[in-house]
Amino acid sequence: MIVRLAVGNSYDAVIIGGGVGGLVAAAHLARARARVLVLEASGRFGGQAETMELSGGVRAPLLAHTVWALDQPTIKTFRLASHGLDFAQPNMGLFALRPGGKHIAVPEQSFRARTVLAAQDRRDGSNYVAFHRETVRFARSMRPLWYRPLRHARVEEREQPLGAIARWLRLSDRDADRLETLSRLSAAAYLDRWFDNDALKAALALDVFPSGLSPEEAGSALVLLWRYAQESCGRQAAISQLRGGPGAFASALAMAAKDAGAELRSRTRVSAIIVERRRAVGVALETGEIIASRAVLSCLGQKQTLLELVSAVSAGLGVSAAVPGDSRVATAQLVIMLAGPPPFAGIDRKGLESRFVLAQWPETATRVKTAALAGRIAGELVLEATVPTAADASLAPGGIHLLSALLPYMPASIQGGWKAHREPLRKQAMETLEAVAPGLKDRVVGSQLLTPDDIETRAGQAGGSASPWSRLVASYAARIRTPIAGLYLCGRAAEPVGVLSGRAGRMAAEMLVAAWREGRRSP
Amino acid sequence: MIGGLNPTPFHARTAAQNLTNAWVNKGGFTVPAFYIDAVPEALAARLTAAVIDVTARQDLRFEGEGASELLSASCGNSVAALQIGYSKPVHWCSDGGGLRGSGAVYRMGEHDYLLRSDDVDFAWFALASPRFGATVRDVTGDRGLVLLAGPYAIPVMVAARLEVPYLELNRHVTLDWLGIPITVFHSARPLGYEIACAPEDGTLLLDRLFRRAALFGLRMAGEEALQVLEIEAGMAAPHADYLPARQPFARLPAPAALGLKAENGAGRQANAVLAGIELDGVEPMPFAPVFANGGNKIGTTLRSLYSPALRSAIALAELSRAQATVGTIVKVLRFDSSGPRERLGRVVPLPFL
Repeated sequence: MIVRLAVGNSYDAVIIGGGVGGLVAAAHLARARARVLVLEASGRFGGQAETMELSGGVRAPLLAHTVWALDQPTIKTFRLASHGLDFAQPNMGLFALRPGGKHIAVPEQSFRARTVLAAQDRRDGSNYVAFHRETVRFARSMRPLWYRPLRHARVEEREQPLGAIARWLRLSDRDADRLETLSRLSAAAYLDRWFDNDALKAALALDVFPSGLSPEEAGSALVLLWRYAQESCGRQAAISQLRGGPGAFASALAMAAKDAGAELRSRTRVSAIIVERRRAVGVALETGEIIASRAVLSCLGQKQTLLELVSAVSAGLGVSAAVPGDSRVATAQLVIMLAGPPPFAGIDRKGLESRFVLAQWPETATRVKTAALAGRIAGELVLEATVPTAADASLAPGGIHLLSALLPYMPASIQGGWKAHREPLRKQAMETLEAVAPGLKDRVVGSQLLTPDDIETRAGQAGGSASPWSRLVASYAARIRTPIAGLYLCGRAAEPVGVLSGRAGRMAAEMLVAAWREGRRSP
Repeated sequence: MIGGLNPTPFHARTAAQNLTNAWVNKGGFTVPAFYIDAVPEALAARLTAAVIDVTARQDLRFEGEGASELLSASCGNSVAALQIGYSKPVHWCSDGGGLRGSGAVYRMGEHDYLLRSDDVDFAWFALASPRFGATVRDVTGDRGLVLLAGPYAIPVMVAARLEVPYLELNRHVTLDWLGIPITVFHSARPLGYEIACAPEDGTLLLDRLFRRAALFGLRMAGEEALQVLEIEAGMAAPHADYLPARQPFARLPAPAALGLKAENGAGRQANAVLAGIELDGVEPMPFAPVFANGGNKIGTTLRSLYSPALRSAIALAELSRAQATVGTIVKVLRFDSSGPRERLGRVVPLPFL
């Protein structure tokens, strides 16, 4: 098929999917004076960055009730604050919830931890400061791997030797050894070196769940390191809450992209990526319209992009072998509307602006994941909860309080279908929360459980991503490129861990612009 | 031999004739290394006739409307033009151009192909097959396969009342041989007739071939004799001569360096070419550096064996394209426990015979 360029129907870049990565890429490309078109199949831009409308004017964040990896250069370059981006809580504390009300508080400022934590465990209190300082320092030295495309020729392969990474990052011998060790270590084992209290270790370790690894799996220490390398609101390792939920971030990005000159089309479904001589040269829409472009960026997953939108003959056989299978674990979310603040014993109103992790032991998460891999829900749950209305009353009018709980390590598919398990899981999650917040049930005015199926329907498929470890040690350039020249990934599939970020979109745009400036057709 | 016994359908007869009890495991089967002596067995395949158990060759069956497209995408467009009943030698590469394997593809029906090779690469095709609307099955275990090689192969078949003497090269035919359903493939490399039968008919097939064998000097030959035939035919084999690409986008080994054209457009041109070296003396020099007369290293030998038909050691070699001129005198150097050993050799065209 030869793509004929129709006047007015050719672009420098066509972006499939108006998710965060796609919008970020569009904004950066448009700013570089490229003609950019974003094609979104649904009626809403932002993908997974959504603030759901519940009954009675109540709004709740979908999945991303906290953020910690938003692309800071994008926020600054496009002055997203002027487009409505605001942080309701820039630096959230953490509570490790325990039945009986003996919760462990980890303050947002590490220097306060010595006194706060020491009240419960003196050794853990003094160790936390050292742990935070040391982990943040080492994570910072690892940042170039997770903040730059890393185009250096010798470390571009997908599976990079750790030695090459250490050399590129100019790590000291001690840090290179540390990287080698951490890449094999589990988060639980890493935290074991610092702390005694199991609930504290379990709470800190659960930060690895967005990667799909459980805290006891080898390599999860590297995910923890990645998490501490992130920056939010100018603070490394801070975790924040967006005012208006993640939807506000998507709206700000969409406005920024439009202001920069990108063309955004919603309700436009791409039926195929047109490939000629192993190079992407445009897209075909479901309407039959053909749009030619110098480069095609996809905000979708690897599987959708390479196996569903590119024809088998164009993609070649290697793509089928290289695209990983669907993940077998996913996350569910419980949103509860309350008549009053959630009754966590001993936690005041200011404390409700924190995150709450319920995982009694580090191995609890492993048990939950093991059950999920077997296609069932474990008898014991782990969860991460926030009270979004504590810092952002605009989400719920009339004094309603929201409690959002993420339930990680759920089976992606379950026998009998998720529809049949929605209500039992909702009840189980409510019981779990009731155990640490007695009286919670009495304040419930409504609740909604989003199963992995519901989330996939709202936010799109996440399927087809490589193992977390190999994603973490691969460069952005390796994750962004595809086997087809001129076709790039710019969404969650190109991130080291699939959280709300947009960094892959910026990297993809920068790679393209740099190549165009050098006179190459594509990087 | 390491590993357990996995007999081929001909094991009852090959075991009876294998007086040395020398076996090798190949492609998941236990086959004779040699029966008495590899030299007369290799000679028989050149001067009279020999039967070699080649059940270990891997057969993949491609069926469905997309079978032709799948094979064309991996092995080159000429596969689609193949007529039913014909075959052609093919090789396939990873998407980066690295050689994954080589063999022959046979068109068995409208949407039915057979890929026969020396190495297993089932997953590569099977993972991609649903996208092409094809199915891929490993049918290696569904048949027994022997190679009948040598100048008296046709008389042997005629004597056994196997009526396919005028089967063209690269053709195959399925027939009923006095009650045994068989398929005869006239293969080019190494030259001979491959006869496939149902596993339960293996013993009977060999008995029929050997009924009047004494008239033509027919004998069983083992794996070592087969290797001699392969080298004489100029065939580079996976794992024996090169490590096949296994990563989806691997760039090496380059097909051109192993005497194959980059037919599907993926293979890169290489500075090296596959050449033959006829060595002075009878001592093989495998995987040894090759030097030009001036002392510059110009390549490396691959497999090397003594060729009874040529009465000298021969070697396949990956040589620099500029230095691989036929007739060039080269020096092959090998280090072993007794120190360095040096042999002179001459670059010759492939195949050797």
